[in-house]
Amino acid sequence: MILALLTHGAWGKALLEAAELIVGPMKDVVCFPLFPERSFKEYVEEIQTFIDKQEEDILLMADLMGGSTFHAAGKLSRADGVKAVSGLSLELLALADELRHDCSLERLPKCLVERARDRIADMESILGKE
Amino acid sequence: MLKYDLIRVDDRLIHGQILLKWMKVLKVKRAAVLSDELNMDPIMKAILAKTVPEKIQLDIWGVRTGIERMYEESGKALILLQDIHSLFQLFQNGIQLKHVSISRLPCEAGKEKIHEQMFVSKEERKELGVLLNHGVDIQIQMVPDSESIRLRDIL
Repeated sequence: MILALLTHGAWGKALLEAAELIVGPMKDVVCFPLFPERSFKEYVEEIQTFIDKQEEDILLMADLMGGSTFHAAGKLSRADGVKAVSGLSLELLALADELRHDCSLERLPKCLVERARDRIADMESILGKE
Repeated sequence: MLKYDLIRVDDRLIHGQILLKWMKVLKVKRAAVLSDELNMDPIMKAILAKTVPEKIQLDIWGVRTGIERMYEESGKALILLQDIHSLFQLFQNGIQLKHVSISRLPCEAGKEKIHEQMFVSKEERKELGVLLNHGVDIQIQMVPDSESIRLRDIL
């Protein structure tokens, strides 16, 4: 399964490098940076062209709910063999890399969101008040 | 007549900059999107219906219908348009345009660069020229805090 990172600007690449510091080299992760000078239409087409060439399943991971990367992921997620999630982070990418090996594409988005939900925390809820 | 907080031309219509910045700064309670493409895209409409904050009333119309609705409806909205030609259609149909804000003009085939990250087709250059000649103040600005460029100075 391929993980495709849809990000505002180039931080997807840096995120991938950071994730590899933790989990080691990651295969089949591709970055689709969205830059301000590019049209939304072209951005969607670029990812569509990539998807059309793949035989493997693809999980699109967008970085901002309501943002253009999220809208692109939504438009593209209706095709067979493609699913999408939002809220890309180091946490989510590492989790997806772990789960993609034992989870079908069908189940992966739900699994990921369930597992990631309690991975955002207020430190006080962990340590308690002073 | 539907009044407006702002008329915004942005090929991405509702997205991060609009949700996180413009709607908050302008205290927008209602947004009207005039776009034939979006109006015919059920997936995008479903996504927007779920991600635009509930307290904001959202209307999505085709451009022609939208112009009619602007005359019929009352209240105040942020008007979002996808491209220069839609803006020109508003002008042609008598909608008063005092100030217009453009997010950017992305690079596409057959477009000529007029400034950093701003590209126009021949047709768009002509339409923008007409609007400027009629005294429409057109500013190019990404978000409320970022630098604003007057189109008149670069076209």
